[in-house]
Amino acid sequence: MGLLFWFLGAISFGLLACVSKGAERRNSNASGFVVSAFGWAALIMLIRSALLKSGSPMPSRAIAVAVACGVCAAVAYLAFQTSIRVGKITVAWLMMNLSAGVPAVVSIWKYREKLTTLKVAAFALVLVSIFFLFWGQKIEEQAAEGSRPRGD
Amino acid sequence: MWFLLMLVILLTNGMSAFGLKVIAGWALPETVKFPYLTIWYAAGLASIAVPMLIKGLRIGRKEILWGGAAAALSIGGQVAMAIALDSGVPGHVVFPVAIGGSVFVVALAGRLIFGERINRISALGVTLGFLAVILLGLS
Repeated sequence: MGLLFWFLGAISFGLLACVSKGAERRNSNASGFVVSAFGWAALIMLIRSALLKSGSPMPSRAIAVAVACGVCAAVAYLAFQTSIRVGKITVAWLMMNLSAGVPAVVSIWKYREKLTTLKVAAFALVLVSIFFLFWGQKIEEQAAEGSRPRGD
Repeated sequence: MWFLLMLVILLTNGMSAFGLKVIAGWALPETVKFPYLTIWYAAGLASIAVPMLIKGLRIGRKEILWGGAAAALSIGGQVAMAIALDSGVPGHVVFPVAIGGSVFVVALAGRLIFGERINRISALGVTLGFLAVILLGLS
């Protein structure tokens, strides 16, 4: 049972990126799409919170963190939605997932977490991967410029 | 333009999830998670909606429908992962494979549905990145 939901989770996140590409292909406005996605999600979470009736008020410092991180998430999704108009969805989605390395680095610095061999290998792979992705994009841009008729 | 967008994605998306780790350190009650996410989504909504309103841009039916599908899949994915964890599948197995699996689904859809072709250098980058996200999940 757990494995089925585990599989469904992976499929759902993959389909989320595909829906973004589908919206882009149908000339959906990137900002409007992000506002709509965040609006629906906020509404669902608001209903969930109201049903839960936690009773305990949220501290102001937690509200500040939620606001800062929410703004970061919306900016990231807008950048992703804009980037798939000019680049490949696979690369942009991979970049969204590689970004997990950033909080991992911040955790090591802020919480003095142990820098294990596995983490060092992961960070090294992230950097090498980004290098090849950027190089690949540069090649594509140069090829696109080369195939464009002169005098444009 | 593309390079700048990728850097923005790397920095902002990475930090967007960091808040949950920060508040986890404050030992707040578990029920705070949902109000936290409500504010998280509402703040994101406002940060894009306000500049849109100032520019006089409007949201059409198309955006409302596609955005709704995206929200449903995002929340559905998180619920499915939470159920998998509750069913006893260990977190160090759930997260790397779910993340790696989503990248694999997107790579497959990019090729088969959207007809995107990537050059050999980018393909090498995607392969190494795929391994990197799995290692990040494991670590």
